[in-house]
Amino acid sequence: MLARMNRPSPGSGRIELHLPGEVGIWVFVLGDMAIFALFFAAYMVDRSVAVELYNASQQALNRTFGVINTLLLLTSSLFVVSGVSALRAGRARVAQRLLLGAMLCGLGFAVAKVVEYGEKLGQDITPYTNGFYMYYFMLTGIHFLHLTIGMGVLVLMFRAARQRQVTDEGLAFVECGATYWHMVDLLWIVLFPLLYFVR
Amino acid sequence: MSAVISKKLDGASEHSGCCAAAAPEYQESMRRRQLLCNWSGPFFVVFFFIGLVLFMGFVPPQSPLASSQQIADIYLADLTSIRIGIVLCSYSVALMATWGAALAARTLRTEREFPVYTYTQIACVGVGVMVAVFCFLTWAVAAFRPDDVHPDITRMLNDVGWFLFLFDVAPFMVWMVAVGLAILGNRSSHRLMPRWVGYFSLWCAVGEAPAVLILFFKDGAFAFNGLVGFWLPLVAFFLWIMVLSVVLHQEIQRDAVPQAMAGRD
Repeated sequence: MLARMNRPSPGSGRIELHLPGEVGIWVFVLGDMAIFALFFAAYMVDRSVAVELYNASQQALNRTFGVINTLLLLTSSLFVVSGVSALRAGRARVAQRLLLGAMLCGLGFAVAKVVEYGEKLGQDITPYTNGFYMYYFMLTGIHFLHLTIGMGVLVLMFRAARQRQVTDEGLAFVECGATYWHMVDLLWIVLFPLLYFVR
Repeated sequence: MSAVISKKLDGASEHSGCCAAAAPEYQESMRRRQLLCNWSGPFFVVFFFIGLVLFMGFVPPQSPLASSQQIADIYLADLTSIRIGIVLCSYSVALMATWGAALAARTLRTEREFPVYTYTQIACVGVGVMVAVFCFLTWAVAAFRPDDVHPDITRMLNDVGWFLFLFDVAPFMVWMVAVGLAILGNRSSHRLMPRWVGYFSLWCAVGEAPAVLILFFKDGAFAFNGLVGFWLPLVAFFLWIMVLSVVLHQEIQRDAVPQAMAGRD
């Protein structure tokens, strides 16, 4: 989905390259990923001077939550991909259901995250405990913020899919929204091993 | 004479095609006025950094962990230079108003009837200038008599200055989002700016956001001398001003093309 979709253009044998949404959204997506790259670099640098502490703190993280959340986000991305293709094929009803599925996965992620935060805070582990937990709470928190915005975007995508006649503009919006949602997914895919597994 | 011109203009602005009917002298004066205001953006950035970096020496910021005495010593060591830098910055930040006006005037054209994004920008830039002036006012008071007051007072004023510099990003974010939405939502017959600039503005707003984290940390990436607390918002904001200045300049110049041709007729 993130890659260019190849579609034969009607009437000619040539393949037309289709960039999902519009070019501009990639300024935002790549820019935002650059900011996260900066976060990750800062984390790795700070970690390198206190490896022992970071490794010991990492042990206390509950990987089950991490794995569940990864699966939820991957599933939601799958829903979004299928939803966008369904909408493109003119099957708006199916698209709506798939987008609803994506929203439920996103909601599941949010609930799991809140439970995980609660568990940590219950053990008196806060962002002030040490450097590792500062990054743990801040990076997952900023990602959570992105997810919350993404949930709003999914609602708007759902509304666009419910229009009686899905316009080109509506379709472009849905594709832009899908691109954003995949970015939220991708950032977690990097964040997850970095916080939970890097040794 | 001027009454005749203005009457003509009122008529011209009625229909959306616009401008072609207006007097070339007026068009040229409007173009120059916009260019002048737009140039205040880059001027602001240049003088601001000359003041902040070269004279004040506040980049990178002091550590939030520094003791009161250490902060007071920084002021005492370069008092005159810091004072000159503060004055330079205090003057330059006011140019945000003229630059913001150049930007808002362009969006106004695309939302004549209900200029909500334009009003939002005007409100935010007004608050932004006030906050920025207060920031340097606070540092000015810190640099007023650091030899005579307890170092704790100097450090507190220094802290307040950094909080005014970084913590109050919200109005600036709203400003950027208003510009971004105005660009992306433009359905008028007027050009505004390329759509990527809209997404770029939204991204800059996101880059500004983590500055509020300086409240929670005194050390590391999220503190007011850190990568995320200081550098990211700083770069996002000034990159926004610079990139939009360039795009705005091009847009203002593009307006001039058909007019020059009209002038020749």
